[in-house]
Amino acid sequence: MFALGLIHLESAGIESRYALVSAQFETLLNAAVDAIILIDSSAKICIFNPSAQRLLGYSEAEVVGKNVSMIMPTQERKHHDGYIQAYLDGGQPKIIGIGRVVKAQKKNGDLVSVELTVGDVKSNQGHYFVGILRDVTVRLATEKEVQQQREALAYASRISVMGEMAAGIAHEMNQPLSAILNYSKAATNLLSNDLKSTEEKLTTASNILTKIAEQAYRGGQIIQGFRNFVKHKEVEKVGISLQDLLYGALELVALDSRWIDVVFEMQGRECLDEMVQVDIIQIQQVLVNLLRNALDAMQSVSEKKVALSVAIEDDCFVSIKVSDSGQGVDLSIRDQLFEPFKTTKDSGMGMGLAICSSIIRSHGGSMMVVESELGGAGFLFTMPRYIDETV
Amino acid sequence: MKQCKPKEPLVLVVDDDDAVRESLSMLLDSVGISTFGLSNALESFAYLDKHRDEVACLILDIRMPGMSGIELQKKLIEEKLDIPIIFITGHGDVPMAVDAMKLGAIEFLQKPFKDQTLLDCVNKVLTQREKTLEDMKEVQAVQDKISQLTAREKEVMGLILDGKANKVIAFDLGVSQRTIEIHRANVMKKMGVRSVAELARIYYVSGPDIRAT
Repeated sequence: MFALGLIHLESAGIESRYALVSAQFETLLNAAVDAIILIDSSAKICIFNPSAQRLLGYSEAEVVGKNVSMIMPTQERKHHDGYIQAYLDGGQPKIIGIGRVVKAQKKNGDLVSVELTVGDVKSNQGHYFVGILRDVTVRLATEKEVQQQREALAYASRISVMGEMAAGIAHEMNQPLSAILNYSKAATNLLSNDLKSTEEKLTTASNILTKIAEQAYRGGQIIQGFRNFVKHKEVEKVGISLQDLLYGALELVALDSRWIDVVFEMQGRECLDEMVQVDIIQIQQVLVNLLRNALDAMQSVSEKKVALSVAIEDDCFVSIKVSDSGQGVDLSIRDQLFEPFKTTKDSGMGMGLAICSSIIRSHGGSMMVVESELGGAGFLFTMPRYIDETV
Repeated sequence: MKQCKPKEPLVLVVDDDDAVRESLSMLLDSVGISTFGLSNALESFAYLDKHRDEVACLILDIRMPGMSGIELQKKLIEEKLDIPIIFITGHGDVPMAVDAMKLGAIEFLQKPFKDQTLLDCVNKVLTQREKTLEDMKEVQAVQDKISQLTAREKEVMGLILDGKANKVIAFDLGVSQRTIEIHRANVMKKMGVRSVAELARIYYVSGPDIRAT
């Protein structure tokens, strides 16, 4: 499309837009939904199509011949000429051929989110750049809404999982509480024992108090673990080692009393120091969900085995696989597993895997059913590796 | 855990949670009850198999990795290792509690429990054990005495306990009354009693039914 116009431009010179643009090309420019702006190598605007005028509120006469930085947010204006020069001096393109979402400033000062793609055109007369701007305000708002709904759903699902795990949590809390009670009473009995020396009493009492404090701390940790899990907060992708990520999830799953009978194996330990960039709670939610599914699937089998295997897939992704020795996945429903409201359980909404898969997709990864070497079901998902931006 | 002198009644505390197990042992220790702690059911079974006589009672957690508390209880019953069990659990699991009690558990306590509730249970078991041991001693003593009797003396004792007079016994056995009088005197002497009433008491409280044999 542009080739046509630009051949014409080159043959005619760049003095006047009206002289330069053929009737056909002008029709295309006028009809385009996207804003199209052509600048020369000194960043002066040459073409500013009607969609650009509508989007940014300037008339053509107001912008032609002026530096394109006028439609950029104030704080970025001063850098733009430098970017062009760096590119013309043989630098790596920062935006050409890549495209990204940026802010453009309207005549009235408002900022608008646009997806900007830039192409460069080299000719005898010089170097030109064409920018196509698509208003993505609505798209971004929709995406944000979808994301919020996904988060709300994930949150609701976590609450529901916690409800199912309430008995386990209560049990786990009762352990340190029991210990605290017993220790306290033992100390009381000891202190009122006249047969023991004061020194002996004090040493033992102090020893017992330390143990009581440890148990109170342990109780606090249990509460902290599941309180984090049900916290409703903005998704935040941070760097975390696989070790910490997996350990947190396993601690939660261990609250389920059925976990006690499971022979658990961790494979790919050498990868555990690897960092990933994820929302910790959401990925732990996925792990808890998959591990609890494994427990459900192994109810009626005598050999209960679960393996968690970690591997580095490539430069960008790591994979985690959860395998069990349960009854496995029926081939006929394999393709529908990640659809909402599909379930093989007597109780359950059939939302778990749909939510897991959606969480993984929102992290740029993917989730699939795979073979399990333990004879039951296998689920594998990928996650982005952590990129240290400061390096 | 405190290792105890043999033969001192011992409470075996079995819980996979280190803190619960240790704190229970400390609690019992603090009131002068000796304990031994183990973290799983299999080890406990092996221990009980060896030290049956020293263990007065078992405080047993229900849920443990590997063999559960209930499974241990069943195994002990199968192996005729009859040891009083006090179950402790973090779950309020009613069906499990019912099972355990049906199989003869002394008590089913939900964690966290009041120390006094547990101590009362343990003390009840220990008192019962002491009484049983005394009874057994008495039984043993009577049995020892009975084993001193000759077959004829045992026969005569059975008939005395039936309330028969010397001459009736003499007639029944086809011997002289004088012979029976000598047998009777020997029975009374060997059994360490002075009257038939006393003989009947120690015999019926502690003695075996010799007439069946």
